[in-house]
Amino acid sequence: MKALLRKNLVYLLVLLAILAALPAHAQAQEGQLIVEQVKILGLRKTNEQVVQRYLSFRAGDVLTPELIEQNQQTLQATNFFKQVSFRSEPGSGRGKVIVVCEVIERQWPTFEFAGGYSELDGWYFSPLGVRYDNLLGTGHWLGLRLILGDRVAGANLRFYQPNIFNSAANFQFDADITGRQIIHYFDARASTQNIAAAGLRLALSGSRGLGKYISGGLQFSETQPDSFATLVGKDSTFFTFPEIIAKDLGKKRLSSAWLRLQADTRDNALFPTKGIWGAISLEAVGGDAKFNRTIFDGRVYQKLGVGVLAWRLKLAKTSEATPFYERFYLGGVNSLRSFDERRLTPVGYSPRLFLSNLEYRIPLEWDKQGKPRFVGVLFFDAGRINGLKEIIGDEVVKSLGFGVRVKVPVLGLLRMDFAYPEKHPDDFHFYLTLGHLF
Amino acid sequence: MRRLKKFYYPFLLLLVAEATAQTPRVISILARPIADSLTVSVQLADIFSPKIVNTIRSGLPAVIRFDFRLLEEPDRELQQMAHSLRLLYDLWSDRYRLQFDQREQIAASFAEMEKLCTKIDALKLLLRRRLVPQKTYQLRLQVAVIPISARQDQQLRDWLEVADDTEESAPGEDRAAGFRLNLNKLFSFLGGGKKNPFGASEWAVSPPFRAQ
Repeated sequence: MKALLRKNLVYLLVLLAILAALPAHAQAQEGQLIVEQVKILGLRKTNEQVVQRYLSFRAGDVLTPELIEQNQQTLQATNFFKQVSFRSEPGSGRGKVIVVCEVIERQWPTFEFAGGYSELDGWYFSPLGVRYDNLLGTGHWLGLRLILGDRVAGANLRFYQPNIFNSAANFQFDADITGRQIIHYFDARASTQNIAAAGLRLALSGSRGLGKYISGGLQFSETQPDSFATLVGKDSTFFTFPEIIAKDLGKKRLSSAWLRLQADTRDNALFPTKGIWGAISLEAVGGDAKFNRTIFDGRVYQKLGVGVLAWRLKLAKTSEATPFYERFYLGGVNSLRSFDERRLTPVGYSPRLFLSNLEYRIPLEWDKQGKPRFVGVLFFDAGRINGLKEIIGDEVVKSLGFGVRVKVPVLGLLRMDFAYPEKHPDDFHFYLTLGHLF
Repeated sequence: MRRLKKFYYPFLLLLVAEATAQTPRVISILARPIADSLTVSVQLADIFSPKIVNTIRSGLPAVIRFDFRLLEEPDRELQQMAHSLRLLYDLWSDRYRLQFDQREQIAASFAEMEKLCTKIDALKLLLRRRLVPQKTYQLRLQVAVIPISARQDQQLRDWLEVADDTEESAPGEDRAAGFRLNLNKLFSFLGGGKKNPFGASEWAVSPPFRAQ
């Protein structure tokens, strides 16, 4: 009998321990509203889990009108729905609320016009893009777009499925076909060379737990550089390249596997005021050229006085066998300011790169949603790349400057920067582009 | 023919349901200059649909938005003015709060709150001296009742504000910053100016008035 009692007592204690470990069911305290249930109405093809994935509250959470407003904007931004609206109903007790989310699904593809500035290709625009997001109701993105620009022409097909097969992994597929111009400086004179490329990229990334910090994938490409270059501003072409470029002029098929470790603790993706965002990526490439490439790119944001101090450090290294179009470059509006695009890049590009950008961003005016509309910036850039001494006579190049960021409807954040090289302050550069540098 | 009718009736029922979906009605609108201001008195009906009533009774707010347009006869729009009346049921004290132009009123019951909302008296709209005494004006009004947040009624406007929200997918990839413009939404926005927003009343027009 005693043994039976002892056994039951043990069961009881285990049960109590389990109950204590469970989160206490939220009770509405005075002045608080608690979510009792979330009803989602209007779904015809979309899996309910897709909507749940974007909602930041669950049954038992404290509810505020601001939280509903945020969730409404998040769902609207998915592009899956023509309309998203929230309302509520009284729950089973005082302070308990049934939240009703009503959506009207988008049935037809959407057409898109896009544009911007790319570090790789300069100004570009996409005169027509077609997106058929959430076609299968699984919350995926699917889009095809044409890209035209001052140094690029091509097309891109992208498919992105978050939480594929309801797992914690996101899957992305990209197929590109492009013709792009890359810039060389021979004897301080700029010239361009066309490179045709086609590529496929498959990527998996985690969405929960430790998986959030890891992504990886495979990439296949075929690249064919032109056997001549054209002097900028002149029609004259030339065919005699230095050996470092000439060895890569044939068609090359490359396949690679890559792994990236990343962290993102920013409080806001578009105007971070604290946190870090960084990644280290490792790539092993095989095929017609064999090389390994490592890139570290880290950014730190910290409130300081009336503004935000933002620092970015980029370190990159690749093997000597890397074809010139897979190596690194320096100079330009999204790299080291106060120099022309890729002006600090050695002939045949560099297997190593160091770049640091330090900015002090001071919001001067805010919009109704509390986002900065007008931001003043002071900045200091420094960089180092192989062969720099032959280009500017120094191992490290530095520049200083100031700028403004102005929020413009539709176009976004317009960036104007005035940059001065440390050694030649009278040789200032003015840049007009979109978005923060990092 | 019978087959056609079978197909036809549910469609007709849907149309009827759509036509009878409750939207607020403006019964009267009267603009009058009083002292140094142009004031307006408004009477409304059918303000609260069952969905709005449920939202308010659950303790979340609802907003009644008054969208005024000042017209110079015959039909020239001079100015737009918007006022919002926020309604909130305080579950814990069982009272209704009405917040309008930084003033707050308390109603002891839903019926009392509804009564206060349906009759707006002598609301100051603008300074009288901004009107030309010799001219004749009219006021147009549309009323919308929006559950929880007035932002739910501004989805296209919000979208225009965030159309630029693009950035690189990961650090270390080539930086590209720009904008994306959803052309379907843009055309909805441009073409939707004259449509009534969901849940809004028809436009009502005041009798002509002068500043004198």
